[in-house]
Amino acid sequence: MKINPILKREIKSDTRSIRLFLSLMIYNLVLFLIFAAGLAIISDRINNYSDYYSWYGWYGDTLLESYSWFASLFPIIALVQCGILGLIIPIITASSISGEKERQTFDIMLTTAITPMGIVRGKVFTAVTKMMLYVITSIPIMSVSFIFGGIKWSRLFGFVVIMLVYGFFVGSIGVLCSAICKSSKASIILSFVYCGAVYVGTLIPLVVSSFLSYNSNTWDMGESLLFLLLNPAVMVEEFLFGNSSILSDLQENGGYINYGGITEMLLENNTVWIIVSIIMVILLSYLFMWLAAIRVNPLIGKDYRRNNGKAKK
Amino acid sequence: MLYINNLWKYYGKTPAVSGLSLHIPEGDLFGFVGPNGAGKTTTMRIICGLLRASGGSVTVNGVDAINNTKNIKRVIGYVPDFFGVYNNLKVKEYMEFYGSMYGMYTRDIQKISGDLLELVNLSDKNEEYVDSLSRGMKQRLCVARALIHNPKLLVLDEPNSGLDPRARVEMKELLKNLSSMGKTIMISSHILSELSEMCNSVGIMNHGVLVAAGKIEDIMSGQAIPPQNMPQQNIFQGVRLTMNVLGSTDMPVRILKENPMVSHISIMERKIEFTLNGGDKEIAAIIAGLVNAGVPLVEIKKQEKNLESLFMQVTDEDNGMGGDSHEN
Ligand SMILES: Nc1ncnc2c1ncn2[C@@H]1O[C@H](COP(=O)(O)OP(=O)(O)OP(=O)(O)O)[C@@H](O)[C@H]1O
Ligand SMILES: [Mg+2]
Repeated sequence: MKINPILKREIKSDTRSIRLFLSLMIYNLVLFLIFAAGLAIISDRINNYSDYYSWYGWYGDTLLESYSWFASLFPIIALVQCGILGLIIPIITASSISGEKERQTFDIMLTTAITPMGIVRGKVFTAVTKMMLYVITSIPIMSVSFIFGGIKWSRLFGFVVIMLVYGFFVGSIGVLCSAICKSSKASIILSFVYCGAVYVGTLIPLVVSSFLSYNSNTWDMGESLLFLLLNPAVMVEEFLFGNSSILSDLQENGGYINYGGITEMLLENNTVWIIVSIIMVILLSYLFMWLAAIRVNPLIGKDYRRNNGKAKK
Repeated sequence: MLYINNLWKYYGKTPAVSGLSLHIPEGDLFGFVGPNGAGKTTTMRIICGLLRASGGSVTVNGVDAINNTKNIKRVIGYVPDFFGVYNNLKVKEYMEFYGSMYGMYTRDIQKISGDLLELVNLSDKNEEYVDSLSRGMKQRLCVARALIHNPKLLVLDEPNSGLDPRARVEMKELLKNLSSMGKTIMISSHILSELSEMCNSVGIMNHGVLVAAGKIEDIMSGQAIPPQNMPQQNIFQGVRLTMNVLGSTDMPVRILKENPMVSHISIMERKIEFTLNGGDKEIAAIIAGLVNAGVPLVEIKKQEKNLESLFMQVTDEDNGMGGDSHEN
C-alpha cells in the first residue's frame, strides 16, 4: 500500500520544523507535572497513613489496597490527554485546507490526479498521525500507573485504539471546518462548535424522552440512549471507567427506567457497547470527511473562489 | 487535440467567457492573448477542471473535460498564474510529492524528475529548498512539475509575469524546446509580441470572446478567420492610421465618424488613431475632407502592420468590435 502523498509530505516538512519538537516536549512535560502531582498526593497520604488512620485507610481500605489508588491516575491522565488533544487537533487541522489556499498551492493540488476525498483523507490522516505521536510518547508516563496500580496491558492497548478513533473524529471535523472557513482562527472556533454540537446533540433524544416521561413513575427511554453511541466523549468515558461508568450505573440502579431491546442488550456488556460505539464514531467521522470532500471539490456547489488577493469587479 | 465549443462562464450575472470556440491542433504552441479581464484565466481554469463551465463543451485528447474531470487530469499539466510552494521541502521532494499525487512510484519519479530538472536548467538545485529559489526558478520548476506525469497538453497562465528579461528568454527557449518535443502547449499573455516570437498560432480574446485566431502569418495578412459570433467584416482588412492635429480633436473625430469606411477610433491627447477600410485613394480622400473642413492637420501616417497594433485595435475598450463595427 502506498502512503498518501500528502501525509508523507507533511510529516517530512514537519520533522524539519522546531515546532513539533517543542510541542511534544511541552505536552509530555504537562502530563508529567500532573502525574507527578497525583503521585505526590497519593504517596503523601500513604506515608501518613499509620499516624492518622492507624489501621484503616481512606474509606476503610487497607494499606495494600491504597496502592490501587495509583490506578485512578490512568483515567485522569487519559482524560487530560483527551482534553489537550481536543484543543490541539483543531489547531493542527485549522490550516490544512485553508492554508493550502492561502499559500496558493491548492489549485495545483486540485489539478493533479488526486481526488477531493484523497486530499481530505491525506489531511485527516496527517492530523491523526501527528496526534498519535503525542499519545505514544505519553505512554511511558501512563505506564507508571500500571506499575503501582496493576492495570492489565489490554487497557493500554485499548487506550491507544480509543485515542486513535477519538483523533479521527476530531481530525475529520477539523478538516471539514478548514475547508469551510477562510481563516484558521474561524476554523478552530467552528471545530469546537461542531465537536460540542455532537457531544450535546446526541444527548437530545435522551432529554426528550425524559420530558415525555415526566408525569409517569418510570422513564421510558426507548432506544434514545443509542444516540450516545455516536458520542466520542461517552465512548472515552465508557472505556476509561468500565464497570463504574455512567452507563453501567444506569443499568444497575435504574430500576425505574424502561429500555428498548437493543439498548438493553448493549448496556449489559460494556465491551460490546464500546466496540459498537467505535464503529459508529468512525462512520460519523467518514460523514464529515465526505462533506469536506464536497467542499473541496471545485466543480460542486458554489463557485470556487480564488484566494489570490486580486480585486474583483 | 483541444476543442472548445461555445463555452460560457458566468460569475453571477456577468459573463466572463461568452460563447468561446477554439481549436488547438496537436503539437501546436498556441498563444492566448488578451487584456486584463478578457477571460483567459477563466477559460484555462475550466479546461483544467478547476472551474465549472456555465455551458458549452471542452474536449482534450478526445476526453470530455467538463464531465470527465477525473481522466482529464492525467492529460493536462497546468501552471497557474499565481502559485506558491511549500516550505521545508527540497526541490527533489517537491517533484516527488507531485509525482506521487499521480500515483507514480518514487523510483520512476526520481528518474523522470532528473530529466525534467535538467530540461528546465535546475539540476544543480536538487537539494535546495523550494522556497529559497528565485521567482524565475520557481516558475521553471513549476513547469517541470507540470510535466511530471507526461501530459499531452501543457497549459501555462502568464508564465512570464514577474520575470526579468533574461528569465523571459529562458522561459521562451524552454517552451520552444518542449514544443519541438511534440507537446501541445497553450500559453496566455498580455503581450502579443512576446508570444509572436515563439507561438505558431494565436488567439486574441477580449470581453470573453475570441476576436481573432489563427496562424500568426494569417493574422498579419488579414486572413484570420473571424469567429462565428463576430461581425462578418474582417477586422484586419484596411489600414491603421495615426494623425496629429492642432487644438481640439472634436471636429476631426466627428468627420471621421461620419465616414462609413472608418472604424475603431481611439484618441490619445491630440493623437487620433483609426482604421480605414480601404487603400491609398481612400486615405487621400480622408485627408482632403479634413483639410477642406479646416482641420489643422499636422501629421498623418500609416501604422506599420504589426501584431501589437492589431492587438490594440481589436481589444480597444471603447471602440471595440462589439460597438462601432456593428454600426459601420
Ligand atoms: N472568482 C471570480 N468572481 C467573480 N468574477 C470573476 C472571478 N474571476 C474572474 N472574474 C471576472 O471574470 C473576468 C475574466 O477574468 P479572468 O481572470 O479570466 O481574465 P484574464 O484574461 O485572465 O485577465 P488577467 O490578464 O488580468 O489575468 C473579469 O472581468 C473578472 O473580473
Ligand atoms: Mg489571468
